[in-house]
Amino acid sequence: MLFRDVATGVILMFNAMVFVYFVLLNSMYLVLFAAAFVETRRYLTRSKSIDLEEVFRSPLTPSVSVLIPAFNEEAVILDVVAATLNLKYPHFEVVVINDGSTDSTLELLKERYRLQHVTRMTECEVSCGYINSVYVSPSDDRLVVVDKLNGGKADALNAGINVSIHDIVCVVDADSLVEPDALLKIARPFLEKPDDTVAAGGVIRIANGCEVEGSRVTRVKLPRNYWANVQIVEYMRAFLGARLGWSAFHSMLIISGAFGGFDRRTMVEIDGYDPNTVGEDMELVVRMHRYLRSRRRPYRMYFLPDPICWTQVPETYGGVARQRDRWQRGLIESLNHNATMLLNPRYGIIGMLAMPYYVFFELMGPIVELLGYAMVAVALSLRMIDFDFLYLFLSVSVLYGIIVSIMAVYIESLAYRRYPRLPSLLKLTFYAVLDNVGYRQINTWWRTKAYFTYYTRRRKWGESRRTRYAET
Amino acid sequence: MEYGSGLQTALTYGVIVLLGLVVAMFVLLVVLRLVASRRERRLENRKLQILSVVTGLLDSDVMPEDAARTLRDVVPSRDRRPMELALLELAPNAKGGRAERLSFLCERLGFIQKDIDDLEDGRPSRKAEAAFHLGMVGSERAVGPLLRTLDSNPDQGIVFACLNALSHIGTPEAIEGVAGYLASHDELENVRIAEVLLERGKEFSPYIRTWLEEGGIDSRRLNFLLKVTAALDDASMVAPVSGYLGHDDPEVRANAARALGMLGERAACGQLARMMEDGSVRVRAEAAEALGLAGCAEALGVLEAGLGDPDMGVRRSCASALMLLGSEGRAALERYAAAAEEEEREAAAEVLETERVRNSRKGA
Repeated sequence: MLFRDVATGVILMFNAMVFVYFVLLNSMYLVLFAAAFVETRRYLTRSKSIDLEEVFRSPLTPSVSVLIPAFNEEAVILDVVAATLNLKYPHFEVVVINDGSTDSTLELLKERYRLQHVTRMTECEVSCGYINSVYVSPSDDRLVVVDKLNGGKADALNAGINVSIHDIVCVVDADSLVEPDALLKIARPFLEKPDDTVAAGGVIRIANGCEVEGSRVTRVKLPRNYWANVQIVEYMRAFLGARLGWSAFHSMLIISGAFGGFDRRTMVEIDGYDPNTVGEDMELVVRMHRYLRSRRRPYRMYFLPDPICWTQVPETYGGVARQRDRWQRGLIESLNHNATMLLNPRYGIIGMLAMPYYVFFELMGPIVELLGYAMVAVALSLRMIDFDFLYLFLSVSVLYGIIVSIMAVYIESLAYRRYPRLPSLLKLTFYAVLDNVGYRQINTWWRTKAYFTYYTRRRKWGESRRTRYAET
Repeated sequence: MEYGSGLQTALTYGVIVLLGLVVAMFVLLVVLRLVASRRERRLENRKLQILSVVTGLLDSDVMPEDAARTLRDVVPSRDRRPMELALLELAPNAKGGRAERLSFLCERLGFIQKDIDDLEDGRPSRKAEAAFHLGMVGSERAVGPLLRTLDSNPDQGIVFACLNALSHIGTPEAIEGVAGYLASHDELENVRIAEVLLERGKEFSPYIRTWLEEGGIDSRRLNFLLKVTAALDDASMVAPVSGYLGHDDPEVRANAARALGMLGERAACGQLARMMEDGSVRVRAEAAEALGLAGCAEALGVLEAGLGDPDMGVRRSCASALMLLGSEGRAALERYAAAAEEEEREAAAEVLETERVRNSRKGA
């Protein structure tokens, strides 16, 4: 009897905690989405008065070095380099960093662009591994290819920073296609607020299923694959909802490694990317916040909802699982490395709001959710479950999640319209439901597992199977 | 284990409300999307139809008054919006007589009056849009209302739209209004002012020269003006710009050097060469680039010495500048690339090899 009383007490206490957690988390989501709605409206109104041609012609437009780190990217590298060289921008160089690929990434580039070895002065402004050679192309002198010993993505990016010569560094993943005007859009904050802009991030969209011609996404279509579709809704929720919302509060902790612009000088000051992390993109941004706030330097980071970068996402259970595992490990590392910021008023809104959110909801969320499911199983086995309450709580939780996902589809559909056909919209709404039934629970499991792999797996490039864009 | 009935009731209501919300959101989403798509399609189709009519009228010998009458007769009143969009689409590329006819049509069809009314009494978002329209069609009648709006609105979006419109219209009154505003306000984003100033570079040159000569400008604005000056291609700017080569702020000195290089002013070679001894890396790099751009052959020795500068960026700038100085500069680079200290050799080799690769493309 005593055991039953204790168990009942524990379960009731846990339920109360979960309920409070649930209310706080969802209130946070609502606030972020409300901010995202306002920010979207503001951005679109402002965009009407912006003529990108004038940005293109302006003598003040800063020069940009686009860095593309590549490790075994033979399937996509030519498409991506061609797309990047076709960007509409007045002055830029494309620096491809071949990080000791064991496939024919470098050979393909050498052959296609008739690369020639040149002397290039390179100072070790940020720590990086040994650079074997630097090549330039006679067919396009904006292209620079760096061949270096394998050292991981962060190390490759650091080598790119050292070789780059312009004030703004734009990082693009080797499996991503940047839209032609995206560089102009992402450079705009650096042009408008040159004194305090240190970073700007764009939106990552999913290219699976889209038609690609001449290294450019020409027709946006939804894929047939379940995993790709749920990720489309997931990306919309993350980019058009959460990140835009955080940006409104000047508290963005992530700029996607697939597409982001940074002030080179600030990157050099913080010694570039940390090669000892798998989530180098988030770690860099969090460390940048820490560095600049601790020195009380005024700065701004922007999230812009319309510079678009298209990327391929994994289409198999294993592929998505590995990716999520890597992301969660990156999150754990980034928060761990910068734990001094947590609830530290010295770091302002970052320390008092953004960091606690990421620690309590993003980091601990999967554990709390999984514990919840476990507690249901325990209560069930002890016959201490109130099914009416369980069904109701689950329904509220899932419906709330569905509403948040549909809100993201709303923002996409009414503001950006990248999926213009009605059937696509209906399909997206359908996946906004599926996203919360099944996928969310699997995702929770992957993210919880990442706590174990965090201590067991060595840091290396997140390899995934690439498909040529023409075949997507 | 049972929970209080109050909590269960609350959750039940919660489920019902959320379920209702999901269904309502879904229906609303579909309806909004359908309505918006239909409206947009219709607007686009009508605009294209009207566009062909307007283009035909502008290209024909029809008198502007008759063209306006024809448009009024042909286009139903419910299609005023697509007609306005069609006229605005033609405006940016219209020049000379065609631009005048277009402006006349906008005036006769009431679009200019509508935009002036919006500018004076509309919502803030409409004010900015109206100002842009007036600028695009170059309505001289709008200068007064634009200047009044400029004085009475702190909103940066509206201010920029008005400045941009006035710059587009470009009458002396409009240019003076813009210059007067810019002289007394420094809160507008610099890049937007650059757009305005470069739109009518020649007309604004005298004002910029006066601002530079009078001084008393903070470093941020000064740096911006020097960058704009560099793009103006106006030799009369050399004297005021040279005055800033000795400024306290290294950023200002660097921008002044850069501007002189861009202006291609050989008279400044001596001053630029002396700046190669500046303590600031950025100033030395910009001075070296400027020496190359201005074709200062007499600075060959200074640039050669710069190949041994402790800073890589300065070495790179010196090597690039030598390459711009023709055969003598090239010969110096080859000499250094063949036999010199490692740093000097690398700087020379980098530029020479990159040039070789470029030339191999030309050869191919």
